[in-house]
Amino acid sequence: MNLPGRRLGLHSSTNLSSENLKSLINRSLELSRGADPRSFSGRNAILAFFESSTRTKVSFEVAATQLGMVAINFDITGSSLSKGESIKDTAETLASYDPSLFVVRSKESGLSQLFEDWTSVPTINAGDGEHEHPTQAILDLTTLVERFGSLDALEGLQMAIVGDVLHSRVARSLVQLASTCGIEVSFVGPESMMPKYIFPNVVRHSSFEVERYDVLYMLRIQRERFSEGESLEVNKYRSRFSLTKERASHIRRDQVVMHPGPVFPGMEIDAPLIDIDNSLIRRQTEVSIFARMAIIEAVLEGSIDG
Amino acid sequence: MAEDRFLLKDGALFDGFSLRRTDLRLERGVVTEIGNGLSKTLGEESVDCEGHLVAPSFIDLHTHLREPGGEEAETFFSGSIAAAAGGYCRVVAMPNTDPVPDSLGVIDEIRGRTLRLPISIDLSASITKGRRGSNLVEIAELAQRGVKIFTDDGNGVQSAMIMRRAFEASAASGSILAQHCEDESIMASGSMNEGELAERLGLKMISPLAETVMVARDIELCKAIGGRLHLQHVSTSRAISLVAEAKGDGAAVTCEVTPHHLLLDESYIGSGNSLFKVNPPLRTVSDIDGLWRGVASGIVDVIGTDHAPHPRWKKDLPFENAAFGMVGIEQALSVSFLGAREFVGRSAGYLPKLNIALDSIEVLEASLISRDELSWLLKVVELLAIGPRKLLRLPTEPIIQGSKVDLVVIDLGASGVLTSDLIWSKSKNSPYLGMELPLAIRHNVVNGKMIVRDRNVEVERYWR
Repeated sequence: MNLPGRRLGLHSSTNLSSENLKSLINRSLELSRGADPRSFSGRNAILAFFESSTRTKVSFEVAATQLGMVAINFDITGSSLSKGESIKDTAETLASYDPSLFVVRSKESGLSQLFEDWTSVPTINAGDGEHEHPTQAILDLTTLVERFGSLDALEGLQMAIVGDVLHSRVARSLVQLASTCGIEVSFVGPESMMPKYIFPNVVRHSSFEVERYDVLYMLRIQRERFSEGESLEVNKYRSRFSLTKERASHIRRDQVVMHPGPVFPGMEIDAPLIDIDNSLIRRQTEVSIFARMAIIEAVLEGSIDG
Repeated sequence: MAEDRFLLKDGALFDGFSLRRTDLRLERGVVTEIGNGLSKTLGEESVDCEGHLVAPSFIDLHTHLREPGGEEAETFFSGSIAAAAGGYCRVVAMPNTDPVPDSLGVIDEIRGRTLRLPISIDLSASITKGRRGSNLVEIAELAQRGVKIFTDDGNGVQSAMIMRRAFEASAASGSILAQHCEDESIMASGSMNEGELAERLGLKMISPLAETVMVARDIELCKAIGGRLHLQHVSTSRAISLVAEAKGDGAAVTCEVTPHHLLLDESYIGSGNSLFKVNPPLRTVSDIDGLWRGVASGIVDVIGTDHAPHPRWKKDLPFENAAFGMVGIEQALSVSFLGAREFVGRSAGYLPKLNIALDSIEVLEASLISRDELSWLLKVVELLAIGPRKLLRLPTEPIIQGSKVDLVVIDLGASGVLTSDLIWSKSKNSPYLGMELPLAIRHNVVNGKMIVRDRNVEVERYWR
């Protein structure tokens, strides 16, 4: 049963004030420049990933370790969930090991909030279904601040979120937090991949004019989340919305390319483009550790007020 | 003291035909005397009904009792106790059980388990074998054995051709086809009403069209073929309009709304509270208002509970994985009335059509409830008590000396916060936990016995 209103961790972008976000970005940058992390030695973080993940999981693991914590991976494939134990029992069992923190990823929306409601252990959402992925958005914005020099420099930047916005939890978190930073977001993609009801004020374009934007945020096509009746014609999609070599030839030096990963080369981005000078894709992965350290610090200090 | 002789003193009696302040002498469930100033006789129990509303006990056409097969959630016994506490004397059990009551053999076997319970239980039968949607059950044969309602509830019958044949059988036998209206081919596989809130939560959506398309289809089939169509748990304003039009054309169509759809809108789901997950899903406030306008104008025939018990492990899950359904038979009156109250708050001055003269409402004016609210209360009681009797073609006559009656005594002044220890049902998956609910079922006299006395089901006295 939910106890609405009681939030300890980070579940969605709506759960972050503008001040929260800015101090998280600033702290992430401090850490990336070599500031001393706080120490939470002797405390445990349990990473409960019910959906496969490489970069997010490893990045949280490294971040927790850098803060002196013991990061315990709950390996779903060998767990008793596959033997029918309910997910609530699992949460309660894990909580009995006295963790200071859960990091939860799930293919269902809302599981991180439920973990926290069930156990009262602060929980960080590492991606829940088609709902949100707030830590990704925080690290993305940190990467942008680093690139453009300051938070103020983000004001008025034009960002295109390109592709399958409808099924993207990354896009849902990013659009809200980017707007908080004064970035003007547009959605670019086929009508069928646009949300129907939310973000009514975000401009939508069904053609991809690369030159118009300062930030090209490319999304992965998530076929595994398509419903009945949704389909994709790959060649048509690529010709209209992918960052192909041809389209990339129009990119100016002051524009940047981002992607939450994993990149599916040859689909939304042609493989050689991942490492061009304008690409922040590798840097996003590096920054992710500092951003997640900052987030863990804030959660453990109780400074996320949402 | 005899256990089946009561003098109900100073209550306001509402029988669907009139509202009057009167005493009632009851002996083995038969009214032996009616009028003012009756005095208690030897061996009779006097029951003070001052400030209370006395009405025929309720009938629910839509109850999931889970037996056989789902006894972990509810049994005929636990469900009938819950129903008694809610003021009911009779319920129709839904057929989504294991086995499904789809043949004489199964019906007879299950019926054997429904005897000697606090209230009467009618079994519905499925429309199709195993509720699988492909082969019709023997409607004529089952109707002869006393089955009045056929339904695949839990699912709608998807094939229009199968429904057409069902209407032919319904026309021949006079049986009611109760349809769970959900066209599964139109975005029906989600978990929350289509719209901004579901999209924000990242939940797959259920389109209101899944309901309205099937409502429209079945109305057309019913008009063309004949037979009786009962639309279960109508949840959209648009479906009410379709029913209004069908009734205007004289079609043999009736419809039901649930207490939860009369009170709760989709925003109660919050960040994903699975206690509010139900099918059809909670809709918008504008749909709720459409349902209440349907109630007011007489388009809605009955309030049915869709009482749907589930064990905790089926609800302690992410919203999209949790089971659909909520318990609610015990709070049906309170929740419906609270819904009416909130509707009145949004649409002041909007009043229901009643069969009785409004001035007789003064009988109850001493109570804390406003005059407008009282007329809504009587309408709600009509849909809980009188509407279902009409649908089942049971007698609905003014209560006079000699009437055989089951009676419920409603405490108009009561109100309280619902907690799980107050729930009689075996399952506690109630969305109303923590809510302050008005009214209470104080007593419930069924088959001459006071099975609910002072809000307590007399389990020990009668069934242990």
